[in-house]
Amino acid sequence: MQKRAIDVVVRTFEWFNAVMANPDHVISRAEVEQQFTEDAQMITNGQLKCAGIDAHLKHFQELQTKLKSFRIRLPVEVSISTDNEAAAYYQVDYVSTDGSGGIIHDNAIWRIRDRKFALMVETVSFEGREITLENHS
Amino acid sequence: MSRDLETGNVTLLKRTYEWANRLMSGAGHRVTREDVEGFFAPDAVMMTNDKSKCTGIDAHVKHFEEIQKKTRSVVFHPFEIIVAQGDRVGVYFKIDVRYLDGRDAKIYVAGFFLIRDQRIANFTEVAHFEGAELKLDNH
Repeated sequence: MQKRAIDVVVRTFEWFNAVMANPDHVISRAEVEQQFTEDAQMITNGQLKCAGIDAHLKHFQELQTKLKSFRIRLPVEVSISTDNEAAAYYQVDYVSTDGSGGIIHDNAIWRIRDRKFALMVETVSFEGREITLENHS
Repeated sequence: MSRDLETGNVTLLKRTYEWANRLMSGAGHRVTREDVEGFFAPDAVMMTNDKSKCTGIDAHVKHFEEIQKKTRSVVFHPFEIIVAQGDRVGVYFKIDVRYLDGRDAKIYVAGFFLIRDQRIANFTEVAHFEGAELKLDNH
């Protein structure tokens, strides 16, 4: 039976929560390839943040460098899903390396292909100091 | 049956934003309670960035009047992405704002609607402002 798109989203969130829970974890390209399609794009607040596997790898490495902790609250607060598309509203708890922390309010829509993220379009709002991240492509 | 419901809900949202665009065109259209009741449930709630902005019809009337008062024009662009399942619809769209002093801003919105009996019962959105923020009261 085919998994719904939201199941893929939750699987990827669980993977990244586990990565961020272990400060010694070195993210490999192969791990990212398991979660994202070759042409995967992530668009945040109207900006293309990542395009492709290498860009996503750099994005996750950047999060590891800039944050002491990062945990997506699961289960997500609201979600809907078809086979290939999902949408969710959820929060993320984070602490930066300088000790400042907060909550990210995130609303996102995904297109899923081959049980991987092909597109993630999100708007985020920070309660606390904003984490500034590079655009990778 | 579910597909009919979802199509009907998306059609309602498109009609709501067409109405909102007429209101915010700067042509002086008045916000009426009757119009708002046509699109929103009596107990409708709007949440923006985790803050409750409007609850109920009167609050939504005040919300739209406040936007009219604080802007020269507002353009709600068509939904770029729509995901519908049952009584919920997830959307992504952009808004262009021109303030009274001529400044422009863009708002990126992703949100969820809950639709009940062809009325918006809840809208929970995360909005990001590029340019000056449109600061609105909680009603």
